Amino acid sequence: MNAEKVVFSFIVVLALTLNFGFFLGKMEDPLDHNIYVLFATIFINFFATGLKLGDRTQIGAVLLSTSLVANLQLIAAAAVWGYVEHISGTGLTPENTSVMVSLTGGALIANVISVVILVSETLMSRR
Amino acid sequence: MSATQLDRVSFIVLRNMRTPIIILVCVYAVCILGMVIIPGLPDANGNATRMSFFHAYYFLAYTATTTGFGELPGEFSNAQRMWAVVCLYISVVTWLYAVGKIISLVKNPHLQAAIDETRFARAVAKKIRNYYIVCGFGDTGSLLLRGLDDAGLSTVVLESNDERIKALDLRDYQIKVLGLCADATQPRFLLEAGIESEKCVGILILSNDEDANLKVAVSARILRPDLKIICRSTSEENESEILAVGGDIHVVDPFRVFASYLSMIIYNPTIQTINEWISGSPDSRLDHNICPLKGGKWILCGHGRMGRVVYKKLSEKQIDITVVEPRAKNIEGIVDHAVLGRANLENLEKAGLKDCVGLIAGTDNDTFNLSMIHQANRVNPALFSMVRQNQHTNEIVFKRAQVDYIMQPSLVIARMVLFMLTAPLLKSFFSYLRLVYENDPSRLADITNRLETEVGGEAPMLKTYSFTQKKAPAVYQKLFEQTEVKLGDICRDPAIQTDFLKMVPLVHRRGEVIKVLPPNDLVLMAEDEVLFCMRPSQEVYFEANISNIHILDYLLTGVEPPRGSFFRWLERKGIAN
Repeated sequence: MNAEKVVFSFIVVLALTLNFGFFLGKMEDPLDHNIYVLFATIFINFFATGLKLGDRTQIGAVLLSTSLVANLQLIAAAAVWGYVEHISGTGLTPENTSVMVSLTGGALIANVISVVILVSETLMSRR
Repeated sequence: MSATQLDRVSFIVLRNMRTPIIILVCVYAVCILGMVIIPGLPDANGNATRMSFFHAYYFLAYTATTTGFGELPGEFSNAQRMWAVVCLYISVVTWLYAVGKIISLVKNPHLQAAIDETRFARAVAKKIRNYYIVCGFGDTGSLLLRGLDDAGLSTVVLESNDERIKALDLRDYQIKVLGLCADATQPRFLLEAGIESEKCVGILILSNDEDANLKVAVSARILRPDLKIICRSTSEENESEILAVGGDIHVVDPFRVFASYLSMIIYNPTIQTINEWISGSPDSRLDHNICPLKGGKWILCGHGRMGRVVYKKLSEKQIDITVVEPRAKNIEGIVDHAVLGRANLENLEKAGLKDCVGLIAGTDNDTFNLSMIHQANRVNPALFSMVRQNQHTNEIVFKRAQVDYIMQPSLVIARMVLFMLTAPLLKSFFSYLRLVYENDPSRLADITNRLETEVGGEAPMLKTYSFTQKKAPAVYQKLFEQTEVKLGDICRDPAIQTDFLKMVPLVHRRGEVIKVLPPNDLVLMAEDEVLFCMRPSQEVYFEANISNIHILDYLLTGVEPPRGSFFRWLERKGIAN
């Protein structure tokens, strides 16, 4: 067992689970989507990106790109939230909430791909 | 630029930035979360307010970077202030750490090397001119580069010593010389130096390391089967292995070349005088030989790798020569022509210093060479002294020492390679001279006289011209019109048609047929190649002769036809009347 692999897989899977936890629930209901979970998702996704940096393999490149996609989507979601709360002042209406949640849904897909690659690579290494 | 280099640069950057980025992310997350959770001042209803994520991020953004706008968006509670202090210290320290990492990354030698390599490869790929790759920028390399630059040839340098590459950057070449500090034995660097490019016309391998040279030659041949390779080698086994690589390959052995030059000065000074003159050595003229004496007894100090070849060459020509050599195993087999011991006054006198005509100081140590010449000159001032200069940096001392002739192996090699590249036909000229010397030595004097009267002076210029449409449009057009153009015609002086420019055609080549010292009435054909020896000032006139149809017309006929329509009409009238 390799400590680096444990931490790496842990973070990558955690990024997916947190993302899923935030995404779960009715699309337009603000009560189903907790802002703290979004914060945790963003943090763990950034952390995962940091861990993926500097890997020279092809797999490493794909993992990094999925992470970047997830980050982009999550930042967009956070920006939507920040805009409606602080700038337009409308608060989380059902329309705004659905936009925010659908953006994190995209990030969810990217995280799923990332985990699938991680698992398949582990299976292929046969060790 | 290949993908692998870019990969390396980005890899080094990302690997080094990974830790700071992860730490920064964690610190931001902890601080933001703390600011959001910790209760703020109570609102109108007495409930504690909470900072939003956006405001927490905003606060941290200006605090962590030490900007410090104050308590925004509203006044903080004491609990928040306490956390703000914690945030400030840890985030500022983390930022300093990250910035320090970035700065150390910029100074990282691996990153520097990777960036230099990338830049070099990119610049080479952008080169417009044809170029040679030079491996090894030592004494020989730098002398050669100077010569190639003067001849307008472009070069790319690979050298494993960082100091030498820095020295290269300080030279003022007319054509920018690209250099990379790299070990040329790694084929990757040969690729980056553009060996596979069509514009790469040759590789010159000049380092002192025999094995490295062989390795570079082999990799170069495999990468480019048609490339011209010139390789330095001092051992015979290596030489045969290098030659076995095949294709257009030449080996230069500094010891052998040096020894043959040296022996030529003694037994055949005329050819060597012409050689020196053509090479443009300072103070070399054709009207007197470098070494005015022949025969008599000579002393050779040093019988190592080079001395051995000199001794062999000279004894073959029946020149009486005595060796002074400190190592007993170096003079096995020639004991009756040798004195064992260092070349001090005592041993030199034992070797017959008093009644000898010349002394060759040919050890590989400049200090020894200079001191023995100095001592010998005091005993026998009439001595003709020749000295081997090993280090180019010692030039000043050698010039001041009372020496009749200085020879630098690096200079000899550089010249030889230079002529191989800029005037390949010169080789036939010198083989012809040697042939003349063996059969009819008096004719050699005629050749020298002709060169002296028709070119003369010091430091002539050698230039090869091929009579193609591009290089000599006027000549090409005349030949196309079936007009007879003789070699002598194009050498005429455009000011006075009956005179000639200060130039001598040395070698003429038509296909495989080579003619040395072609006569002036030789009729030119398209695609002929001629090597001329001329005064540098005559080049402009000659190039006008072969490219300007009006000048060539005048040279061929001796009359200048009218060019304007009025005068042409007048001329026609005149003829009609």
